[in-house]
Amino acid sequence: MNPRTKTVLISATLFVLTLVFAGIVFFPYYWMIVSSLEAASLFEWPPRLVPSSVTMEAYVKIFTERDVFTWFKNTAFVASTTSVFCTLVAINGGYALSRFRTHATTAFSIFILFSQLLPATLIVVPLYVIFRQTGLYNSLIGLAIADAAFVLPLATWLMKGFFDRIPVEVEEQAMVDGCTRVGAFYRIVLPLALPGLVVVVAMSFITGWDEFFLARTLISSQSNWVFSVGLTSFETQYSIAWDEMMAAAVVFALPAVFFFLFVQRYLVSGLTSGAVKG
Amino acid sequence: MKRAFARRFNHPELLPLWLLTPASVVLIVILIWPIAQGILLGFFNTRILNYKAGRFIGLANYDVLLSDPFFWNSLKVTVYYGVASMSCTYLLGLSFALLLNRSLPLRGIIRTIFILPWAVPEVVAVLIFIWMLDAQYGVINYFFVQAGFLDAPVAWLAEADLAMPALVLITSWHQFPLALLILLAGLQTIPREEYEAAMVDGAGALSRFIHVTLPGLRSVNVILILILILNSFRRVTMIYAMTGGGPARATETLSILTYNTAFTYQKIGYAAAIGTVLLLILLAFSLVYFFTIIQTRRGV
Repeated sequence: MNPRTKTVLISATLFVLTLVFAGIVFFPYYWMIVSSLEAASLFEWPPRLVPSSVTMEAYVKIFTERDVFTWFKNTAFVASTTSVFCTLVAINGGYALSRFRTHATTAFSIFILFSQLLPATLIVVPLYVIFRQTGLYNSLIGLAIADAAFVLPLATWLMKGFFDRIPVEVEEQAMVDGCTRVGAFYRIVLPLALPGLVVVVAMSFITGWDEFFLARTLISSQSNWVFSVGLTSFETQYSIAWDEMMAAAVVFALPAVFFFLFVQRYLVSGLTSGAVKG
Repeated sequence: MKRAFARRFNHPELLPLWLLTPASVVLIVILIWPIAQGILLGFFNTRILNYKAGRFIGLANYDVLLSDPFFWNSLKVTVYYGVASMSCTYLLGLSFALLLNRSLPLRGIIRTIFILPWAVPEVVAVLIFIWMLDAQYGVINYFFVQAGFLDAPVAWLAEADLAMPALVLITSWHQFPLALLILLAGLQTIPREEYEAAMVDGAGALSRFIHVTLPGLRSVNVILILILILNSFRRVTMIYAMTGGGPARATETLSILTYNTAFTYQKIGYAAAIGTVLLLILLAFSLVYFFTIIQTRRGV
């Protein structure tokens, strides 16, 4: 065999291998979608890998017989509140970290690293007590504030990264032209950082959207359930309505997946704190 | 007056302070204050029903903890889960990163498919896997029986020695894209010339991997392995939704033990003590980890 054919053969084998792995990795997604569309043949052995018939029954059912609308509304509220609140706070903190070297910024940077060590369960136990005492328990606003605090370190760090890419000369010029320091930041720098701002908005939105653990602990009444908590309620006394559960899972996952694919690149550079370029 | 205020507000020493105030307030109220409270609670016998009035009992919680077999079990489970999920996640991430780090038809689409698992909310990932692992109709049982790994379907999440492998499976499925993206970025920083030089020296694929790729990934590995271990020690949602720590406490990591002690057994004070030990372990681990790395770097 000549070396050229050998190279082509190796490339082709690796390509096929990649496709096979991609198929395996994608299979759980496929199975979620197929299970949500297949009512009749769901409980069969052996399982049908390709559905015999397709129906939207489960989707109709979850919207008519379950509280999916309430969960959707609550989740959207929590996610947007988390997102707005977290972004507003992160913009200012991120700018300070990017442009100043003082004791305050150093201390804050160290705390951001430290926060990556804090076990969520140790926070949530006293947080539960604090929320009970302050009346934030079982309130969607309270949940959104907690969610925002949990993403804030990462959001601030990401925002700092985006400000770092804007040259300082931009503000200096604006200040020569008569802007104050703060004015230069809000009027000149912030619009330039808009793409980064969008990433932080989307990332904190997803965090609020996906969050389960805090919602499970800090929310008690069923009317305040968010989607992630509602999803786990499909177990009835006798069986689990898997087709409905998978249909609800698709509805819940869709916005999250969409936003996530958009922010994933930036997430990596944020998580590794600039150790690698994402 | 207004000008004096503006000048003070814009002062280079004070402005960062103003800008950091909102973030600091949020973090103090929701993270630092509860952590301090949590450490304090560990010295009280607080229970959920009397959450306002616990009694100070000194180190009694820690005394109980040291002779609590569930705590020691949990510590073992935490290490098992941490090492197993980190290794599987890392190996999957590295293999796929190597496959993707070449010119490939449809590279963009394939890359997106490989990232998809990470995009799905953890609860959804858990539900899909509970369904796929179902003892009666689970498709994973079907594949394993077909492939001859199993004689008959098994109840993965009900068997003490199968629940953990199932948990590691779902964790690595959901988390490997993080490793993949970080390693891919790392691979792209290795200069092509180094591979070419190795090829000129007659190095085979394996030798190039050992002498060029692995050393090139060194700094990325350091941070990635730390992230994976810390995340596995702190992970709650996935384990809680998947097994709740069961069966027979086979998947009860320290994070889950803390949660169950507080909200199932309603012993808040004791739970806080367990959580504090977990925090100390995370701190000690990180310090030792960085210390060792700095030492070996100096040695080289």
